[in-house]
Amino acid sequence: MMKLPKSLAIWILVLVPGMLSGQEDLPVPANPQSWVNDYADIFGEQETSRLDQKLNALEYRTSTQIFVVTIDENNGYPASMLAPMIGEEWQVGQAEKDNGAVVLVDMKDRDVFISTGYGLEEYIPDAIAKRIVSREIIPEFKQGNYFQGVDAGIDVMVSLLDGKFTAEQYRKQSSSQGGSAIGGILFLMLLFFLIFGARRRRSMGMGRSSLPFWIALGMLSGSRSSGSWGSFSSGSGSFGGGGFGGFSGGGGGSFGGGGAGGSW
Amino acid sequence: MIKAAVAEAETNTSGEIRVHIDNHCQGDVMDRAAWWFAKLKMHKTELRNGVLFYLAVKDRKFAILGDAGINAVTGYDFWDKIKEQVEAEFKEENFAVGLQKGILMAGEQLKEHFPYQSDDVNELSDEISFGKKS
Repeated sequence: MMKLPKSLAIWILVLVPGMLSGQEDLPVPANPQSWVNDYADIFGEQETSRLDQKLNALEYRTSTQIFVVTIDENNGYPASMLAPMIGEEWQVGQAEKDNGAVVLVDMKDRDVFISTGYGLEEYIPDAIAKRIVSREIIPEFKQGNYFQGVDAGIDVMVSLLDGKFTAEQYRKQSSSQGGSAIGGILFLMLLFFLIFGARRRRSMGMGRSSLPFWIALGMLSGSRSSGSWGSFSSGSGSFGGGGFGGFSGGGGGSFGGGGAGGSW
Repeated sequence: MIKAAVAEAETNTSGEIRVHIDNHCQGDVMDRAAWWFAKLKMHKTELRNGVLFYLAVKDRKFAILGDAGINAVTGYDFWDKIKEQVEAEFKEENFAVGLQKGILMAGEQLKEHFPYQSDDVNELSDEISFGKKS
């Protein structure tokens, strides 16, 4: 992201010749093969089936559909355009609920983008989707652990959808990660146990556990920096890898969707 | 007025223009525009020459997003020139005028690369789309 002087934030997309042919189809088949569509062949067979089962179970529990798509050809589109297009093409989610999501991994431009339907906005707002990409997925990708990255991202999405923790809790938790995040979290847990444990013993009611699950889940992600994992052109700024990496001005990447945006 | 501008702009070109107006746009305006671009099925044009004007009035953000076919043939500053015009009007709260100017300008420039065809089909609705995805 390129931010120009205060009053004027401008995003510039660079344009590249070479797509003169007629209608380009999306770089994916007209219909998905399963929840996990590993066209770029970056997952192992067992990994794919494990993730498939996880997403199958999620759909069974919540009717929410999450599709994972990996591609090594993008037909000139940045991931941020392609992900919602695939969602639209495949009609991801229940029509009346629009409760689907597409997790797109573009191996060609080394970009990841999560696009969600209306219906998921409440559970996974866009800012959180970006954060999942930069906090959970990209760090693993940088190590070449493609499956682990996607799997970790899916785990957070599933937990958000299951209501194990809220977007706000995830945001806070993932913001406060410091060097010794895990130590801090363990300490907090202990504190919670001491306070609430003691209090509950004294009170008669059953009461639901007040220990937020996200604290435990938070341990999944150590301290990480955000960013894209490829060698993007410069300027993508604070959330490289959040899908915007490929957009940065100057240089000229190879993508088809173009435009300009700003605020006034 | 906007709808008329879209229709007028499209008489010059086979390019397809749409407008989407939101109140709010949290997060990145280009991403949101891309989301609406897909939602409005704007990639379903024969020459991949759809243009979306996205505007979030209360958050004062806007974006112009064009499909791959346009970017293949236009210059680097194509969108920025339009954006500057639109922005100048928006700053004065002249939303309709800004959109109208931008749309006509886009039509003019699209005309060069995607001339109007006698058998041109209006592939996408000229209606403004409203809605929110916070």
